[in-house]
Amino acid sequence: MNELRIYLFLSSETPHSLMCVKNTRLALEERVGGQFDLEPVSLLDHPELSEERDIFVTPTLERTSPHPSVKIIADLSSIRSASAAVRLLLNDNEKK
Amino acid sequence: MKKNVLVIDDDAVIRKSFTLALEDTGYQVDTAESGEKGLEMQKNARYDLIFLDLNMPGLDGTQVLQEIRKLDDRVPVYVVTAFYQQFFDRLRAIEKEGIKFELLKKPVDGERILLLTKSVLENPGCIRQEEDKDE
Repeated sequence: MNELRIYLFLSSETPHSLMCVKNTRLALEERVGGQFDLEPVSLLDHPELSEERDIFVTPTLERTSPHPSVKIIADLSSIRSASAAVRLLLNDNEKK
Repeated sequence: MKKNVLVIDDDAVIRKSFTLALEDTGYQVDTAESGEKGLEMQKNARYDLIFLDLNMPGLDGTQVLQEIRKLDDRVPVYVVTAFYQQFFDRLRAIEKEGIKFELLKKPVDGERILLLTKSVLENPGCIRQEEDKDE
């Protein structure tokens, strides 16, 4: 299991949502190679998670490991915007 | 160029909460009290962001969403709803049609409305939740 664990909370599983997953995955691969676990979660299928994890909007990226947890509300519809979101998500974790 | 936001909700208190949250931001915020009115407004103006209540009399949110997408496939549409299963059943039908939408959970406070709107309308298109700080 990789140390970097990320959840991507999406509204649903439309082609658009799947594209957001793909863009996020590409952005992460560019940043950290294959050293991450990315789990997409559809809130239509798992609405209870919005309460458990305090997710109020989609898409939201949540880094749960390493601590501390970080949540980023992001536009993931392009590689460029997904890259910006991933940079922000990993910001606390990166050495300068 | 000024960004335009449309709020479609039959509840006047909700419409007001969005207007108040986004005042002093420089965004143009228009509101509609029904799906029919919202669609009429969308035909006459270009919006950069739409907040759409799911549960409305007359045309409900899913019907409005379908019509919005016929006019504009690109505008981000946030369906505003309490996350109850019976509401989600309607959205599952939309999902099967491949219609794009995002979810915004009710109740939503002014701070979160502002956070979300900024994340959608401003570069770099992302914002950190809770600590509410930009990169």
